[in-house]
Amino acid sequence: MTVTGDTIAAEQPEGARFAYRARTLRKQLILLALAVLLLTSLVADMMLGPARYGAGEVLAALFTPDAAPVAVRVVIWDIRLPVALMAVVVGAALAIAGAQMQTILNNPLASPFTLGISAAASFGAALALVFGIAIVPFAINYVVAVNAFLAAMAAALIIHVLSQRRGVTTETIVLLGIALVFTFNALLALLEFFASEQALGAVVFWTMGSLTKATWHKLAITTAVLALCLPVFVRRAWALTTLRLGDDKAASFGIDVRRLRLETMLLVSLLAAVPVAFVGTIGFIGLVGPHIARMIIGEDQRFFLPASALAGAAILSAASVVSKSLIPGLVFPISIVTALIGVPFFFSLILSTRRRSW
Amino acid sequence: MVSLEFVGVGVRYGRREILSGITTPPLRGGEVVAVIGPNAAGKSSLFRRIAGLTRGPGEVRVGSPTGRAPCYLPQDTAVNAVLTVHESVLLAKKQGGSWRVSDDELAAIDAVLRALAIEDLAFRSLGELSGGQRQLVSIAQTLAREPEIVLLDEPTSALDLHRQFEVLSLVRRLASERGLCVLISLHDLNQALQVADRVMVLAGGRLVALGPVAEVITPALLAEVYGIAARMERTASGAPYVVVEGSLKDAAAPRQSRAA
Repeated sequence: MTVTGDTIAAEQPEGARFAYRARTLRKQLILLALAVLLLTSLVADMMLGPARYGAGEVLAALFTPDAAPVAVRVVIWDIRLPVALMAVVVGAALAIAGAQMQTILNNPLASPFTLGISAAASFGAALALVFGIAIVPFAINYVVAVNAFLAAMAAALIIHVLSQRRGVTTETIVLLGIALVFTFNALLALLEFFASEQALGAVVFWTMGSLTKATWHKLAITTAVLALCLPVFVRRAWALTTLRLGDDKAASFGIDVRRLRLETMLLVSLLAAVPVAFVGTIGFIGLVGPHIARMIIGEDQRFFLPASALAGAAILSAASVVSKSLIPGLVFPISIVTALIGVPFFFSLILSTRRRSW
Repeated sequence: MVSLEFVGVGVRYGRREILSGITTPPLRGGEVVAVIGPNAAGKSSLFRRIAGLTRGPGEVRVGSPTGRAPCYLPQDTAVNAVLTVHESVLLAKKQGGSWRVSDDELAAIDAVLRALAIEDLAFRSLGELSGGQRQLVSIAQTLAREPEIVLLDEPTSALDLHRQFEVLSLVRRLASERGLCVLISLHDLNQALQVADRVMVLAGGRLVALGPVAEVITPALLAEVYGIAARMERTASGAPYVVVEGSLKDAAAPRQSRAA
């Protein structure tokens, strides 16, 4: 044993220190690469549509709008930019929500979709679409979104209240979530059974998810929620990472595990419910965004959090590009595309990686 | 001066009483106290109670000049986190601080890893480690907290003989040099005799004895607490050790003869 004099003395630590700094730099470069990927996808997303523009035209319309042709300027600024940015913000929000759910529940299956939050939102939206029932009577322009949001929060609340009961483990919470998925899906099916043909079409379309109804207003609300939650996660980055070492270890490091889990669950519910309320059910991002981030960058939240956000945003933005380019003139529902392009990609990542992620 | 004292301390899980009426004089800094007792005696529950992970009657009085909470090393060190050893020890060091990691903090982590001779594991993933390596990393995390009171729950259970010796001598030195108050639960009574100043014996959730190791660990106590026949011997240097009477081979022999 190399213990002499003072038992734990600092001596010649250059090697490991250099290695740590090098690994940190590598992770920063990975984040940079993800950001470049995202920006490329964002520009591509704005190039595609009924009228196709070149990257130069898009960039010119964005950075020198006064010099751009009016038609291009209007299409880019009023139609495509809010939709393209909505894909980025929703992707980031869902991936962060999934990442933190997986972290606090210590379960790779946790995501807004698997915990029943998305299913509840679909049910809330269907209540408005089928029966015109508004859970709250005001905000009539946003009745579908408000219903979806409130139902999603109710599901999160149910999960939270049940999780506070004695003897409920994180595994139980995931099982409760799956039970909620089935419950809300059954209720949704019941609504669909009674729905008129027109309403049924609207419900089915809503549950497939669509970015096309994005507006600057909806984008601002979703961004505001993300901006509200992110600083809290940034402040709690060390504590959230420590949760992955187990509750006892985290508590012995002085973390109030129960409070951290509660705070995070509430914020994550908000983060999952708002995008779903505006763009419908998009199931894949919250699960896969964080998994990809974990595989390429690990679980240190200083890197895992931005990597999840960037991965989620890039996947949804890329899915938006694909949804417009499969058949010209037709925009596929985004949820179908995320699953169809995402799942094979995800499988290849899981099967090709030798690194154990869970 | 660091101190730890129990006044009527108990632990209950639902209606089940795991531990009750533990009262001791103050345990002091610089002292290693071995906590021994059969399985389910309440050793881990006592540690969890001190660390504030469970509640119960009585009072745990922690005297600490810096106000630091006791640092608990749980028995179960299995994790599935995608973190390197270095990152996991950094976590122990960095709670609540900024995202930036200073050179001093990195130097402190290196020193802890070196003290446990696991610097070569620094950038290995936690999931790739053996049980013994995980236990050493867990000890590294505990030491990186720079604690004043340390609660080590069977820290050597997965270690080979050489590593057991290394870890126990490090614990002994830290207590002497830094004035740490160490509570260490051990199943190996000879290790307890070697490393500890005092021993706390638990059985059936109650405190059976507390005192200097050589005085407390006697054949009579071992018969009462563990139900075994044992005798005390001394090494050439005069250190006491326990010899369990009888032989496992003898115990197995009648069965073999019956089978034959």
